[in-house]
Amino acid sequence: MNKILGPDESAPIWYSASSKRGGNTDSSADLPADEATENSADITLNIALFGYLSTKAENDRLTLSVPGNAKVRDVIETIGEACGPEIAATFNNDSGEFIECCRIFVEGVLLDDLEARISSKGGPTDIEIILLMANEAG
Amino acid sequence: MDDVPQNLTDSADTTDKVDDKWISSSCSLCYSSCSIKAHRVNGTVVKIEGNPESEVGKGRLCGKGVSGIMSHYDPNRLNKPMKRTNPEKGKGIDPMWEEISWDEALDTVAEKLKALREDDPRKLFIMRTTTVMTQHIPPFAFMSAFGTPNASAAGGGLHCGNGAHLISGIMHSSWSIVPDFQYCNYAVYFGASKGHAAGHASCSNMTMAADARARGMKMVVVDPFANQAGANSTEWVPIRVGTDAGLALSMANVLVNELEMYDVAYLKAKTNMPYLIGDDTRYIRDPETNKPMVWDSETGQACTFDATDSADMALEGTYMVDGKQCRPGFVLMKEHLKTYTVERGEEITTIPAENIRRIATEFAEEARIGSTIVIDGVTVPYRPVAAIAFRGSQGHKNSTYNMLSVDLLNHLVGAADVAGGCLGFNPACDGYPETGRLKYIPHPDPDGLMITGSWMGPHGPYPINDPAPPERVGLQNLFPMAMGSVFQASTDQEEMWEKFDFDYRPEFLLNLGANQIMSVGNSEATEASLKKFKFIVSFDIFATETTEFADIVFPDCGYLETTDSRSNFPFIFSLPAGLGDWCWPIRQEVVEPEGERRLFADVLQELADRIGITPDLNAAYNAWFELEGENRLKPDRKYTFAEIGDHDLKDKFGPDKGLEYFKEHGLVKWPKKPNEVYWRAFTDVRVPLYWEWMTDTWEKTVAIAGPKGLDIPQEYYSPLPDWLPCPSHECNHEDFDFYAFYYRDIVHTNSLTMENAWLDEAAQLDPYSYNIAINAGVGREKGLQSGDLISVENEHGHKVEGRARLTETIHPEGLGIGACAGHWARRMPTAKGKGVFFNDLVELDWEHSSPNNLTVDLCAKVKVTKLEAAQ
Repeated sequence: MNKILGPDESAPIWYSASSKRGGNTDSSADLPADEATENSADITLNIALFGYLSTKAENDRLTLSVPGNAKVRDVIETIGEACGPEIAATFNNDSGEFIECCRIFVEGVLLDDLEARISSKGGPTDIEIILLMANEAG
Repeated sequence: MDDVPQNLTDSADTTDKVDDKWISSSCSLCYSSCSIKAHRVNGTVVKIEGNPESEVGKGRLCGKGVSGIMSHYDPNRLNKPMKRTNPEKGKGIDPMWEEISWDEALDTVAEKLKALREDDPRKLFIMRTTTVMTQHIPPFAFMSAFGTPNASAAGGGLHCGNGAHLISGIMHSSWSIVPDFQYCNYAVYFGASKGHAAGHASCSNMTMAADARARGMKMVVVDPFANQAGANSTEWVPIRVGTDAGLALSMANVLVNELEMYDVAYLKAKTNMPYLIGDDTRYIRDPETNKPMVWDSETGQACTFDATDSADMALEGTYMVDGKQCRPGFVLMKEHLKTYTVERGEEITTIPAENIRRIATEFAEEARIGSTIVIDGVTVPYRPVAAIAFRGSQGHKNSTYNMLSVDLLNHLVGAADVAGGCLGFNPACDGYPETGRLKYIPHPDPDGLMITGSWMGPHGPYPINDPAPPERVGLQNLFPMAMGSVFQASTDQEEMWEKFDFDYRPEFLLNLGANQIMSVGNSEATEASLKKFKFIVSFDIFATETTEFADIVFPDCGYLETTDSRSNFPFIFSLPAGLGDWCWPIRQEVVEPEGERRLFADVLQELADRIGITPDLNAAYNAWFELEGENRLKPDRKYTFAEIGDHDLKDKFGPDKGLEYFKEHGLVKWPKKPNEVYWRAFTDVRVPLYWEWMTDTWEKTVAIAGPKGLDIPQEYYSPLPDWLPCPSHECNHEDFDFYAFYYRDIVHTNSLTMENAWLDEAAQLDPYSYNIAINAGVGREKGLQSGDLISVENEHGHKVEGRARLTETIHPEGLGIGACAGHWARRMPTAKGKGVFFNDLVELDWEHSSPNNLTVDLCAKVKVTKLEAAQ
């Protein structure tokens, strides 16, 4: 039992922002059913690889297609399949998790959620990918 | 004009004054980047002051900042590209420079870089610094575009931050920590000088620390030497070098097991102390969701941490879950701390047991656990105590645990990121009100533990990556808690590369203002590492000791000749913590570059163009600056760094607030809100006081390193922090009876400012800056007196020489040297031969490095020999 010197007035504050969450955290499960299944037409992707990826890829400009309901994760897998295992390996760590220094821009917008869906406005969708490298001392 | 130095007025046209302007910009004499106003008269900078409109410095400017004018006008500055004509390289060897044209220099370098990238981009090693050029993005953008994973900040990080930034990031979502000066009543400094000499937000913190002391804040400084912070403290607690964890853990034991004073609600709601730990040291996880489990006291059952109210989580007890015996992490913590009695603390630290108990009791009582305060109408927890640490305590083999043990004190009493407590530098921001940009906040990982909202680089400090077979020169893949690495210059680097079957070696060093041979460790080791490079290019403002190894030298612009859109962003670095304003100042050209100097960032753009990677570099800048929409850089256009800054500013602040707006106004600021400053109370994240991943990390590291013959000591991978000795603590050689350490001198910024004439004069007036501090009583017993020339030798035979200065304000076992002096470069006459080069006592190898974050151990057991009596 702890022995603080007065009434614990801060406890409600601490507890209020850590209420139980529970539930399913899969963001795709929260989508309305019709949104999750629409856009079934394939999307054409114009892909540009930069930096380290461009030094490893045989071709750093690719045109690929993904299903209309594809997510960022599917795009990464598609690129990996097209470019071969060496490129595919750079996207994931040894545990198979997506590495956080990989930056993906879809139509110029940074997408850091692998579960985000790729949108198409009718024409090809531009994808740019670069691995950011740094040391962070100081 | 009375305050204009004579040598400056000589060259300024004062009779026909057409140009007389105060220009808002940012200092760069250290990495704090305090906001300045520079007075330019007829093209000459005549004075530099603090900018009172800015939060960064709060209108103050230290002696270093004021003296920037002398660095700018130093006649020894580099003005033209040069190439070496002497093929022999080595410490003190004359490169026999020959001036060349920019085209020749650029062609030579571009040709080699192009061939290198086609061969293997990993062979490029980029060395940057944390001081000369504070713009940190251009080097990272270039390395991202080029495709090399190899970079370092020389001594930065390796000395100052591998532990400090790791723990500050994991525990406070920030680069560093500081007391909440506006409300703190009792601050304990462990080897830190925040607010008293150097460090992040330097001048702002000096103002706030002084105000806090005037208000009555008690400051207890734990340090072997009472110099900057210690001399201004309420109480100086001399400690044996490198034993901070011993004191902090003993204090924690007093809090938890003697006084039983800790913040139960905080521990339940904001830490992983309720998580159930099995006998295998790992969390008990829900088989279905894999989430950590807690014991729900209300239902009498185990459940996942997010399935019950925190108030109902058990902190005590032993339970059976799915046939496994387990206990909350807090039980393990309490038991662990019992081994750190105050008597053991005294044995480790030399601090009397009763002092440890008294300081811990004062800390606990002043914490006012359970109290709240209303600030601007918002009720927040009130804990007016803070324990902070920085380079002094974390610069040891036990770097991680020294830092974590100190911060543990804050979390036990709930004093983390609350009013009066220990604050990270601005971990949460609601964004710039007019655009919504710059918004970030810590968020939880699947285990409920905090991931930073903002960080200095692309990968945050947590979650910790899995160890992997090393590919980076510094072996950071294998040691994922490391940022800087000893293997950038260690005596055993080749042995390590062979051990781990490296299929390449670094061949090309691109040095961006760093002075590796002076800032990392003993010069014998760093010299050998520099000589291994086939080609070295150095961007620099002076021909430093490291630049003397270069094949090509590019004359860089100084900070008064530079425009940079983000001199103080991310906000987690040098914007002061606590209430006040968000503030975004820029750095801008005060004068045009002299001679043929060019800004290194623009030269990198030119090199990228010549080697055909402009689209890659622009893509890298788009990613680093997170540029959106029309503010994104176009792939094929060659931009100046100032133009990129214009894009950055418009992207964050709107189309009407580009570079021209900032050049005129200097900065943008807006008020901070209490829920931003004291974000922890309002954010559903927990921090790990029990580092559960350490067991896994150790096993995975061993699985890779073991077969290669590298022993990874398990005690450095325990989930709970310990005090672990440095090699110096285990040295029993006769006559080696001092612990040598270095401190950041108040007069200088590492090796950067030693060439500055005003600062050199100040340092010569200071009794300690250029001398070796030794305890007066001990010194007299050894027949020493102030002024004696002495030799200081470590147990591996490395020696330095200097003049002794006896003082009562140093621990009897301590030997303090201001770093980083003792220059020998032939084109730095002011710095040459001044002070003592401490780093020659620093061994650079695996044995003298942290086995978990690769910090180099910065203390050495030494023998002192009198060479010559004082004159």
